[in-house]
Amino acid sequence: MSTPLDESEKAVLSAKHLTVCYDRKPALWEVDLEIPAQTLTAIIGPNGAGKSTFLKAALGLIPSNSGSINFFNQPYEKVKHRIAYIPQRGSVDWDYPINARDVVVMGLYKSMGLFRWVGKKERAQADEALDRVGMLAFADRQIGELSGGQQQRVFLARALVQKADLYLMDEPFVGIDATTEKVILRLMQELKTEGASVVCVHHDLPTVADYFDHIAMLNVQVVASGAMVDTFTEEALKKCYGGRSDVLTKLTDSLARLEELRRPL
Amino acid sequence: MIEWLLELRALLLAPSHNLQVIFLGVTFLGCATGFLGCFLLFRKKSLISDTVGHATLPGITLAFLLGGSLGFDEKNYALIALGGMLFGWFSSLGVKWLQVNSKIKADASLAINLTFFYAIGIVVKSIIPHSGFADSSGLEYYMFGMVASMVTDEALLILWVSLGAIVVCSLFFKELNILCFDEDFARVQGLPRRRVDEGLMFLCLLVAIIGMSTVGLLLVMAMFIIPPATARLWTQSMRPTLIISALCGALGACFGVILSATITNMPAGAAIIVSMAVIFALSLLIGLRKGILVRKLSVLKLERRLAENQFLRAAFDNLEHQQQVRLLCGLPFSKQLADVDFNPQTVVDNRCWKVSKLRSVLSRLKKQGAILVRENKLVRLTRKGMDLAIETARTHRLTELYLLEHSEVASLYIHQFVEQIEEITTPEIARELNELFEARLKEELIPLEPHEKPLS
Repeated sequence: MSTPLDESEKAVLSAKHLTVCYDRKPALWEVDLEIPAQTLTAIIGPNGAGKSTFLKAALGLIPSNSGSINFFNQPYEKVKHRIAYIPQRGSVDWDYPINARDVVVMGLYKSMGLFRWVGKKERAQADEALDRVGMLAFADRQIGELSGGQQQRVFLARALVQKADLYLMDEPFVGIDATTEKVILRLMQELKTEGASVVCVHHDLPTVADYFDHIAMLNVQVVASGAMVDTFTEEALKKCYGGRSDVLTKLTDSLARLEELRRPL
Repeated sequence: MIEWLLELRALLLAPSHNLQVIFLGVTFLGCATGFLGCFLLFRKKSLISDTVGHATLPGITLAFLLGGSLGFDEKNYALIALGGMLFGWFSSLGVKWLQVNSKIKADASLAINLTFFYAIGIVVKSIIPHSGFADSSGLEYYMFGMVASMVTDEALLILWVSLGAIVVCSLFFKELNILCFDEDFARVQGLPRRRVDEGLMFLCLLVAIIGMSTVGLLLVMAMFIIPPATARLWTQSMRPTLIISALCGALGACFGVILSATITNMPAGAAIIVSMAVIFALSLLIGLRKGILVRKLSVLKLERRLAENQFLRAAFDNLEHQQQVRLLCGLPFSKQLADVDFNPQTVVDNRCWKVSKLRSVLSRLKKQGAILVRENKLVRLTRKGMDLAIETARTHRLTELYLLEHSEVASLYIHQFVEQIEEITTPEIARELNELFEARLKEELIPLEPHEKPLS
């Protein structure tokens, strides 16, 4: 690559014409989005606006129908070691026999490589991360025995040990206690000063301007995106939360019916 | 019975060479199935493994027929094992294919595949006697297992395959661990999810095929499922789960062999599975983690403590009521109250307690030295009892007060909540409440019943 490094890394995440459909209903439609480096970005939008879908499609967890997403101007596969993802707390088996420390160690698996067993070094790293989120005292607890906020902090620690440059979080502030909220906010600031970027799906409008400095408003399409002060306006909010475009919904509905008819049984 | 015990003793003290070989084989088989089974259990693949186990039948029967028609020995072990594995693999593909390509849900897809493949196996089996190449008598050996005929080579084969499977799984422990716990995270990390899954299924199938001459292909999959489920009842972390599961597998297998060796006509395969199930049932009862007895005991303990607290608090309320007038005279009330006899029945009158419950609460409190039993069925609180009663009442009322002032629960609803206060107030919460109200309660040792207080 001949382009200078700082130039190529201006956007930590850039989506071009990204379209994702569930059963032919669009969840994301021609999304163009650039998220600059070293920002705390909130993705907001009404229910069903495709916020989580955007993160999942970006990470390849669900297939996209068209368009592309690049991280640091490269496809995800090439830079996945620089990205940490904190999912909503739904995707894990809470009854699995594992304690908080070993969950955090999982964040190191990738960098450890094949055929290596977890040792003292990895556990020490995990403990360090647990300490950073104030969970060291709970390191030996089974993960399902922790409260929702504590679980969230453990997953945060798992992301921290990955030493990523970009942290993607799916609704990290939902269903947590005040302590956890403070920890997440403190960490976001720390990460930013360390040069990393954070992208959060968020849905609590009153706090969004306090917590973040960059915003992307999503409602199937991108309504607005940019620095918080310029973008987070009443007008944009109205546009974003005013409802889905009726014509688009109707169009895709009729498209779906047509396809259904044509589909061989 | 005595005869059987004697026989058992003779068998264990001086096992024949044949029996030693069998023990060697089944021990390792049990270890491997228990070990691998843990991952099947946590990948929620227990059912599919059962389907795969049954689906080996057509492979085995076809291999039998093929071997016969090609002029091999019809009991050619390698050919039969290969056939079984091949069809086991087909069925696992079939399960997935049906789910993806039709609207049939997972459970139905599994059931369809299991019965379909098994039925094919039965059909082929019925053809064998007419084919003229082979006689089907040897087939029973694979379907139901025949431990007694295990030879040294077979036991060694089991040993090596089992050890190999355990080593491979240990090497890929990280990958299996991550996939079992958090599939999404595994995917984001770029873990070859499907390859790990298929590798696991392949290893299980391999061990199952090697082990089918022991317990038979119809039951071999139970060896993968019961030991991990047992281990789950004893521990909360993965390594002990694996070890306990492997031990349970080995133990169950050995018990089964002992049973079948000492009781005439007892098939070893079935005896092994029954032994494992018995170990499971015992664990269910006495298991440390979620054992029924442990849970029952802790519930009982909690209920007893609650009942005692409730009684003490009720006694306190009652005494306080009686002594309202004297309380206003400014005497430190705990002293006065302590010397009053009261009827325990009236204390719990509005609580609908059974006589037996009251009696047991009283006897426990007496044992703890909290009450004295006086004549005419009256009781009196001792110093210790009074202290306990005051503490309980105090915590209770502070909680109530806290809820009234700090939560958004309407005061009407507090009453519904109040009866649960004892269940949810831990010593830690009590301490915090005390700190919170410390300043206000300087003079009073204990606040009045909050919901009886006139609103100011």
